[in-house]
Amino acid sequence: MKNNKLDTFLGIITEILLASAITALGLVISAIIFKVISW
Amino acid sequence: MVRPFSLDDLKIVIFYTGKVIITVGLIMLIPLFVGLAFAEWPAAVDFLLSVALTLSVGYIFLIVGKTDKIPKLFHSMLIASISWLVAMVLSGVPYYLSGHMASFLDACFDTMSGYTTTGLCMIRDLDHISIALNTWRHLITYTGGQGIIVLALTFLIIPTSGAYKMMVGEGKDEHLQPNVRNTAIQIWKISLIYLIIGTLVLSIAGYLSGIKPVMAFMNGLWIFMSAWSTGGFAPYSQNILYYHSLAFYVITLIISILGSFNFALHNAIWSGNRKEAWKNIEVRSFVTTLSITSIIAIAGLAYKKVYTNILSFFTIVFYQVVSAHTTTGLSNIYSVTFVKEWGDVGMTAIILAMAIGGSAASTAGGFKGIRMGIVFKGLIHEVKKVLYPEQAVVSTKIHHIKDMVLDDSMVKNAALIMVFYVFTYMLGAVVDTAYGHPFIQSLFESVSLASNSGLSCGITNYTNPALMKIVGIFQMWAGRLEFMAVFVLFGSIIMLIFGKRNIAK
Amino acid sequence: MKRIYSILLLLILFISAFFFLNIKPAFGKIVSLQELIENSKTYDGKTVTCRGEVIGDIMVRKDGVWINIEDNGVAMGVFVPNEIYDSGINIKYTGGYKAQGDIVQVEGVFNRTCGEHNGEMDIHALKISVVQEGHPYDLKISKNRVIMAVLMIFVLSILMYIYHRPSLKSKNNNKDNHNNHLTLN
Repeated sequence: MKNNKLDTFLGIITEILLASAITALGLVISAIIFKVISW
Repeated sequence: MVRPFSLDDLKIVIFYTGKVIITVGLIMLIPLFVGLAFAEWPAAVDFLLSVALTLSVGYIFLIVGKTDKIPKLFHSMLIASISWLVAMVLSGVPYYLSGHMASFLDACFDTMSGYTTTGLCMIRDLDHISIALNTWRHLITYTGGQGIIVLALTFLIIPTSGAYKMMVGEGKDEHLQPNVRNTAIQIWKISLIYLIIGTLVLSIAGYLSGIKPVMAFMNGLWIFMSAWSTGGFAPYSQNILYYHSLAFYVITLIISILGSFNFALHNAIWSGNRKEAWKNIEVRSFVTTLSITSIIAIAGLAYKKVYTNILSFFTIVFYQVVSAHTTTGLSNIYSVTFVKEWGDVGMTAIILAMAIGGSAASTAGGFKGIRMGIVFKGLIHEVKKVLYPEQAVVSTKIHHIKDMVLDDSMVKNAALIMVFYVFTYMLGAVVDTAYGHPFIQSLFESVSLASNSGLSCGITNYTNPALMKIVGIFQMWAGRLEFMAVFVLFGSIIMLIFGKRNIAK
Repeated sequence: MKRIYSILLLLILFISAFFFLNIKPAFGKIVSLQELIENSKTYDGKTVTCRGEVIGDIMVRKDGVWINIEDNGVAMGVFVPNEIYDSGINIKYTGGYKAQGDIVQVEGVFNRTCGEHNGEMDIHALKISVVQEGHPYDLKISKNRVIMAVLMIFVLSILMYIYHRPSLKSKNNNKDNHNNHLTLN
């Protein structure tokens, strides 16, 4: 398999970014609802 | 015509169960060494005794079942269900010897909770247990998450032919690699690499939080294992609240989410197919249902003014929803808070999130994202069929690593397993309600058990009647093995009792 | 005369009760952590007095110290600001496998969902003192267990010999092949 180690490394980064994005989604939802409720 | 159950069949099941037990005994060496390293002599003696006992039982199984036959799917299902039960009992020995369990049944509840990565526990005075025992607890969730059969496979204790079927029995039916042993190795490679990264990050976070280096490392290791395996155990009774650290909350959220992904997804992304991260049906399903349940919970609690701080919605409410949806079970609120402050809306959102669960072939529980995706698409397919002209050929596709055409049997299987989950969810709810608990609390606890989540609203307690504990153990076990292996076991027992005349040599 | 004696006797009994039953006079009524959690809305923002055993790690942060205290199976975090922590409390033992931790009495503000600390339920200490010193546990190794462990190892050795003997024999004799794949690698 070509670039095995690079693929693995990039793969891990991609996954962590994905999980972080989902986590950040929580912040976004919190902020939106906070604004809506206080409006 | 049901196949006759022969002596050979029995021997195969016993023999391979023995191999799994040996694996468990070897893993038990780790807490033994930890106990010695920390000079926890009584704990070390307990583990020495337990290791010797477990390995002895394993060898007895090997001697009794000695065979050169290869297991078929039928045997594999039995091996999966039985070895999990035997592992539960033997793993409970060090727990029971520690003196922190009110009964051996409680010890079995905790070990089943660990292996199934549920996370509910009966242990008493958790804040005073040995580092060795804490290591064992978290190690159980880590190995249970991967699958003890997968572990046995990886280390060549079980030969590869027939192994795939055992993995199916354990609920791991994804083809990661062309060769089954390589699939098992790949699963472990992914888990070990994340173990190193995750433990490092958490250890640093622990150290920066004010924990001394050695304990920062131990806590980092334990919490990683708990979050990655979506187990939910924590070394202290306050669970993740013990650390009072935003860093711990954020890091465990990320690790839990990663841990809830399908191993096939990890494999695909690590092999260069990075687009899979957003094309995959389980990721899409998860993000969708997570958003919906989060909105319900956050909006509900904001409206009731339970929390008024924007950050609290994230660190407390969203945290609990993710913990539920990934079926992790880590928590930074007290169990009774669900009842006293969250109320019905909050609890319902959590119940839904737990019920749906994580991805297939992962450490998570619940219906699984792929079934949600399949059933949802199946529904769309049925609607299309009605709306389109009768002669038209309607096909619906789903993308899971590769594009697949949705067919009726896929939808049927997915829906069927979902029905079994719902039945198991209701079973526990009915039992708990019969014992006097309010329905929604009973449902909460029951779904938590059967989806292997581990959040508690306070019902799980060592003072519970034995029947409640036994039903709980059954729910965790059946939910984790996704029912098939459990049904095969019961079916075999019935066959054995009523089909005696069919026993052939 | 009799009356005075009976009153005196009652007084003596009453005072002894404080010593023998370890009851502290109710200057700040001590509230259990369980009580706080179950009635969090009632106590939110109020100053309370609690007691508990210090468990685990004492976590020093920038503006204060986190201490987790356990009271009858329930544990809660107490945040002690630097000024208060530095003013003389000395926690010698923290609870765990090897020791019973110091028992502290905390007077502080209870927060149902603390705005400063991620919405967590906590107590911000105004006063904190050690009321009972902890001590190391006397961890004795049970002789019976050691004997059982040794016996078990002996049993295991026999079982391992029984199971592996045929393959050892076949390695020597080079005749019997059908047991080879059963060996552990």
